[in-house]
Amino acid sequence: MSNIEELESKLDQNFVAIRYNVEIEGPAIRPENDLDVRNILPTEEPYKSIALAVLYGDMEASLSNVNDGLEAGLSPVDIINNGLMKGMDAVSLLYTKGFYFLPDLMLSGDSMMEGVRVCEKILGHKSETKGTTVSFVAEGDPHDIGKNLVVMFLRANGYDAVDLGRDVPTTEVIDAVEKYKPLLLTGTALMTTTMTVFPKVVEELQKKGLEVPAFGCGGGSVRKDFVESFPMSVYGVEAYHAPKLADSILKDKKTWKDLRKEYSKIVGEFVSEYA
Amino acid sequence: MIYKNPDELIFGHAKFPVSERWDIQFGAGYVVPEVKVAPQEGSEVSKEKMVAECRNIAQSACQRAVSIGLPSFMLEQEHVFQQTNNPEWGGECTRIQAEILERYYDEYGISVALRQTPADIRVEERAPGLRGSDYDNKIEESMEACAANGASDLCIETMGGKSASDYGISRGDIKAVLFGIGVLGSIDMEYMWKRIVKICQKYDCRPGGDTDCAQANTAMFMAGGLLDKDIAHTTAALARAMSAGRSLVAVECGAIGPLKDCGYENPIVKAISGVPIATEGKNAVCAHSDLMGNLIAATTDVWSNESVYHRQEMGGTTPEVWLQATGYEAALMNTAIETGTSETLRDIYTLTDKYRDPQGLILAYDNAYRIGEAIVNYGNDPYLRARAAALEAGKIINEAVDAGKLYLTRFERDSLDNALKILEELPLDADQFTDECLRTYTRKVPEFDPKSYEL
Amino acid sequence: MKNKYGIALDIGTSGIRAQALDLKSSKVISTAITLRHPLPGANVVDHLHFAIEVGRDTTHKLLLDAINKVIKSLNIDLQNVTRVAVCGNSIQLSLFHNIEIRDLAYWGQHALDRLKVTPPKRDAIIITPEKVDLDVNSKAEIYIPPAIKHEIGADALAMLFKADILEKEGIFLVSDFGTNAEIALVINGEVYTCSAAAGPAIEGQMIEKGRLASPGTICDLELADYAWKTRILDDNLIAQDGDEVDPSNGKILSHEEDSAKSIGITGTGVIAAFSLGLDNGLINLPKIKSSDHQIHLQDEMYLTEKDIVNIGKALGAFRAAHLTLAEEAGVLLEDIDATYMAGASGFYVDPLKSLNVGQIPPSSQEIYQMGNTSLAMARDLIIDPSLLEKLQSIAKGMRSKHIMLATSPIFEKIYSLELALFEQGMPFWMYNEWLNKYGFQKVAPRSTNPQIHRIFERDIPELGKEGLHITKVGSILEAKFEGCTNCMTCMEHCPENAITIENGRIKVRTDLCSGMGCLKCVLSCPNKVFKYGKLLNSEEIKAIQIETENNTQ
Repeated sequence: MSNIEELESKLDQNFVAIRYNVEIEGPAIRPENDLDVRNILPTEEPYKSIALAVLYGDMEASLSNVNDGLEAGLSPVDIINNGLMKGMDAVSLLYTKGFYFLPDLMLSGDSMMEGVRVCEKILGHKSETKGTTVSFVAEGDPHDIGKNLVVMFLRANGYDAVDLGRDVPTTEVIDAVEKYKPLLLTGTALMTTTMTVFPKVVEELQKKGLEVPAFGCGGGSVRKDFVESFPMSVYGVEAYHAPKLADSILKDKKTWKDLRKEYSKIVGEFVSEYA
Repeated sequence: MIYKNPDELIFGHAKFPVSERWDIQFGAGYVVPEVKVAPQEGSEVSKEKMVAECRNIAQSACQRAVSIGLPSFMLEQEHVFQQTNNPEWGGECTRIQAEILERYYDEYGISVALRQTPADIRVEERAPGLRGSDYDNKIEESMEACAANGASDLCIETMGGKSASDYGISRGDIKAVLFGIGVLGSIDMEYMWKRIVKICQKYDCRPGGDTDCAQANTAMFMAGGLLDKDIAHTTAALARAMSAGRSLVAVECGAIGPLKDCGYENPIVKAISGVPIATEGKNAVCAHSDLMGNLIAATTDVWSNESVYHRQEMGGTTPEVWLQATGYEAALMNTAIETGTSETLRDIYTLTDKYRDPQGLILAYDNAYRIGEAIVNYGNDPYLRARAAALEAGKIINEAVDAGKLYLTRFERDSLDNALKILEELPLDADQFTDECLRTYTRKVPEFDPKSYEL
Repeated sequence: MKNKYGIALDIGTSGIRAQALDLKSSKVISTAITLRHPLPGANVVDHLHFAIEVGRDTTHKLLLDAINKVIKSLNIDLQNVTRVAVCGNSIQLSLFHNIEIRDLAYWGQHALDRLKVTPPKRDAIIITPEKVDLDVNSKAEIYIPPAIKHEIGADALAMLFKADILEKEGIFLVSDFGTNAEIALVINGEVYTCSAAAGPAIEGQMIEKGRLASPGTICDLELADYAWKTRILDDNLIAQDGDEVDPSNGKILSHEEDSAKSIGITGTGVIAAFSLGLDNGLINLPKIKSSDHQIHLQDEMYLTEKDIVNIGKALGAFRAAHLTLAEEAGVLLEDIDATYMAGASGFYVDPLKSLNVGQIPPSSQEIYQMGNTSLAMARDLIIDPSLLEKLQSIAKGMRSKHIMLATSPIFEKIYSLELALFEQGMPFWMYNEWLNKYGFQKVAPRSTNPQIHRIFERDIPELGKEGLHITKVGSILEAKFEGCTNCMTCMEHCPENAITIENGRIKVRTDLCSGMGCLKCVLSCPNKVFKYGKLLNSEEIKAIQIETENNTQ
């Protein structure tokens, strides 16, 4: 060992220089090396590569890995559950940890959905999901970023999220509810003029004798007191709350009344609007 | 590589020592302290005021040197604009300082040196650009005036290529940085140094060296401290590695050293060429902050304070105060040399800052040696060798991270990954690279003028 | 020989501004303004919604009542008025003109088809005073300038016209910062427009202590060592020095004797706090780093983390809109030759702070603050009526390059980055890297020495020798609701004390009511009989006691 190597081995860096930037922010580690992510990701190939491609939001790699897997004779259901969904779970985890942000989520979500689409084509039908939800943007309103985020979060959490698009006439919403019998209906509006359709949707549903366990309403101009002035509805605060609300309906059979009362508890964080 | 292995690199010793008048040698077995003082603001209004400032600075420095027993020191005058733009001012200031130094040499036998560094006052975006303008001629005349009036050696900090590298640094565009430092910087260095060496040959004056102050130091300053987030320190480290290839050009043109003090890339150049170097670190904090204040002393031959305004401190005037500071440090290093403990001291200096920041890591003498090797591998091509230097620096940083010796923040990690990816995918043909860059950057960088580089 | 007069009228979100001009000399004689819009609600979408709920005719009547009051305060013989020119955004002008407005409330064909709405042509037109019940000489001509397209109205046209860039060479960015910010990128005369739904935070709403600009509101903050000095609007709407406060705890470090008590913070004030907070580290998105997570200003005014996120999203909308426009037009924001800031909010904000927070591109080198261009263009029409035709042809020429941000995939991607930045704390370097990843231009580094040009010293440059009158406007809306039990819950819940009940009749004061953005009366009624849309303007318009004040400036 050279002189400097010998001295270096005796050195405790913390007494000499502390890299405060790394102390505060945490050292940069590759996403797949995060300890919690390690526990989620599959270890065997080709599921591991499929999951990693989703983790990195790499659409091309995701598609080619999925196709390779299908050609090798793997069942599409396994590819979805053991590969694509695991990748998405890891992405969601990193998002809650603050390591991944919205654009990562969007890119990974797209990669996952592309893979799912290919698998569903082979399968011939839709893959098994936790349940069905329907999302729309109020009639007359073009702003759909909020709805797109809600749909993405629901899909990332295993729901078959039906997306009706923007400027959706109330009749179409009713038809969709009739057809899909969703466990959660979500509506978003950015303008005060368009959010007035929400109570009308509820009215129409009641007229036809239809019901949804909860109708989540949200968007830029939407207010909680407005949403709670008519039945069946729950004021949705953040897009990423949607899957948690859906889960509570699915697993704990919560109703819209429960959701209104226990919102903060269900979404697992302090929500000032519900304080 | 002149040095055969990194362990040979040590402060106070260079393979090709330099001797200058007044019985002073650099890299010959001892370290020389340096002091540099900028004339007070307001003194630039007249020649008389300037000359008076220069006289006082020289006088105070010499007096303090003998008062505390320094065996040797170097005084440097970095010109302000007016000194270079009016060559007789520069000449007159040199003469007065040389006189004083000579007097002290005669009376006390103290070994002294006078380094004159005219300012690079050229303006690229003003016609006719960097070459052949009035400013360009004034620089030459200034050089001549200083050499003729008693300077021991001449240096300059050329800013060729700054237009492109500034653009690249502020936008995180590593290709522009490589173009600015590796290609443009080297071209301009050659243009300047061929002339400077010729001037020095006419007089008893040595061509000292240059630094990439305008480019790599800009990156370092903008990167700031550990908490600053404008530029990633990993990016600044890559820029520093590239700058060694560029600063080497001065030596290739005939500069013999000691290379100028603010070149933090000097250890790399020393490893390659064996010339003595001046560096600055912890005793240069009066001028700027760096993250390798001790490490940069490991292989130095001249230890400098970079620059300080001429004014009064509690302990004396700034030339007195800061020469004493650098003087004591040099004395420490010389004691180590004399007692055979210099290698240990060199290693202690290095380990203090080796893992403080990626910029220091790559300048540690063992790593600097590796970067030197990468540069030598590509010999004469300025683009390829600068690129190789940056890639090697990236490799060094990654090795340290993998070994768990240095951790990076997300910003530093992502910036490094992106930069290395871009560098790796660059063409291996220098002409192709230059053509691509000309097409892109003549458009994007308004101050860049290809004619200034004969491109 | 009686003097002939013209009236220039600007109907804006925050109020009505009118100027009387002598037609012979083209000089301004007097100016009258209101401090708020006569309709309940404090942003233009609220006004639109009010009109849809309550009915176009009632709304038109309320608006004209107010306008007539304002022009009366101009103190000229209204029978000698031969020309009136009006300017404002499409909603305001349509309400003035009493034409269809529902096409402005809904996007896409579904709602319009269902309601059988035919969108009107909003071209330039000259109408008579009877058509709109304007109290001037019945033979006078009322000039209404054209809209460019849909929600890009005559006010946007005014902004572009007065910036005088439509025939210049170069790349110019013109933005009107309001709830619906109209933004235009003009490249050698080619105009790309868009409208960013920035949200009401920019006017000071959705901010807990936020208010529209009015006397007593904090409109700016300046650094005073490590304290922040507040700047408060006085009764003449001019900013004056206030106290120096430590923003992390509200401690008053230096009290300003004559300073007004502050009653709220304007959108520009929030931007100032945002800028200073980002600089000194007090704001580290999305958190505020004080012990109670609030920023404290004088007189117990404060900003919460939610407020910061709300203003952030508004600023993010502007930045995303600028980038989207630039990408669609194929230019770089750093190549812009000059940036123009229009609108009242654009005039009162400190452009350096706007630069700092990204409200205008940080690489902006030449910045022009324009002031009230709508009123200016209205004045121009009075002086040169032939301008109307010219404006029509300009508007026609611009109709092709309108970008609908809500359906632009570029905007969606960039705005998601903004949400990540402001709501989730994504670092800015990562934001830039994502832009790069998407193939878009990055945000260029900050300009080192931006030049700010205030085209005029105040929002309205010349007040005329009669000076400025501030007119108070307000009317009463009434209704008797079937099933009302007189429980007075609505009255108790109204945050502005706008409701009184007389003989079973509900009376709402429009100058106090917050309108469709509030609706606490509707929501709190236990029997659910309060229907806002059923409120009507009383038969005899009860004007509230107003004293028109004569303020000579």
